[in-house]
Amino acid sequence: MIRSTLSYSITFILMVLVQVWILNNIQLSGYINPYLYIMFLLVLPFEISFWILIPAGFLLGITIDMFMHTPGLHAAATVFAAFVRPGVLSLIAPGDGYDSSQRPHISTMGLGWYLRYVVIMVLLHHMVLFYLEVFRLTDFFYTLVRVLLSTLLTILLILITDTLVYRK
Amino acid sequence: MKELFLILKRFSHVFLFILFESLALIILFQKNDYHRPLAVNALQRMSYNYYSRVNRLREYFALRETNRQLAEENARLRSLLRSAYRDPGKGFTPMADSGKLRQYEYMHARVVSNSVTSQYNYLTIDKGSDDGVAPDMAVATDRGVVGIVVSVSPHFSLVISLLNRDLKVSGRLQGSREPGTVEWPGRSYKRVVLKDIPHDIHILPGDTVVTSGLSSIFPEKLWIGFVEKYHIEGGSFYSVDVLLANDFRKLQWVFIIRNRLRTEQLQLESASGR
Repeated sequence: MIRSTLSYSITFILMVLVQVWILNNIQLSGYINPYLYIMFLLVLPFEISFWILIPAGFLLGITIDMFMHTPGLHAAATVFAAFVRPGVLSLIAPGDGYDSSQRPHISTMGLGWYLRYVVIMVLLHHMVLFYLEVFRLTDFFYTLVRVLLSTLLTILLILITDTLVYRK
Repeated sequence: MKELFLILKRFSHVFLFILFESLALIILFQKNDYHRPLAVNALQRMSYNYYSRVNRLREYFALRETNRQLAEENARLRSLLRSAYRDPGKGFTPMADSGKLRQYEYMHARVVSNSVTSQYNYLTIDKGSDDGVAPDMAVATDRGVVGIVVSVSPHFSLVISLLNRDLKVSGRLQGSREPGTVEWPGRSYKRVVLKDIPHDIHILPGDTVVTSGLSSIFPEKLWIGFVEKYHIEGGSFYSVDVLLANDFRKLQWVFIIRNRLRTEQLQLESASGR
């Protein structure tokens, strides 16, 4: 228990650092920015309780906000992502449910399942994030394009990270 | 009563969500004027230190461009030197420059962090209150307006970028006296919009857009950008698309501009109830 808490805390720190130190410095054309940090919410165990998940989401978002001068913006998006995660998991659950010894990774759950999981979660998170940031509907389609492009890039990074870091 | 507890228990995760989500939204929508000083806490200081380091690396890759800019600026400054002018001849001694009151003071600073992807972009520069920087000082490059200092720590300042939807700057077309408002519509980092220009003004694509000098922050005639195209908006006003003179993605060195008469001007204006 203590060991896994420690390892998740390290994951949290690494995710935040990679986001603010590396990804926020890569400005691709000025329109899209990948938000890999959301992967922290994705790698948490299946059976994690709401009482940890939602505060963890808030903590993750507000930490990112602190670095990006956007108080509350990322926190709102991560809390939302944390809230929908159990629902998304049960939506795409395999026929025999989840094994509590398993962790949500490509190596354990297969690429097909993982892809569905990541696409839904990242898309929801990015939607909330980008529309909340713009906070108007006049540029609806323009924002949608930004959401989709950034989602694509984030998913790609998550797939690469998961393949490299969480090998068997 | 027991049923109430059961309901509360059953929906506890929803309540938890609502609690944290509203906390985030309250923080987000606190009607914050961008002058709200951001608490410079340990985390932020850590990120500043890191940004300084990354920036040293990034600067290395931009050396060629920086050299070119410095050379250009040297040339321009040289051309302003006394030696660049013809000797006025004997008989009259040239008027001493110190006879004029210098209103604006310039200090250079390095950009240590910058963003253009958000709707509300900020920059961090490596001069702070120890160097005499204070909120509401203008920040520009020799190509034009960059932003305004919003908060300072001893060694760093946070600058609201022109690419921030909260920032509005008073601007006009060079050669006309009609001021308009320059703001960022939040799309491309290359363009801003100049609004509220009366439609009887003659505009040509390529015209220079400069600061109007109608605030106590920016000096007059600082470049902002160049007219790209324009259209009539809301009846009798032009909305002008302005191609920015600065490339905000590549900002490296900036000046901080201090208006020495700002306090005097503000005092006068507030004394007369404006």
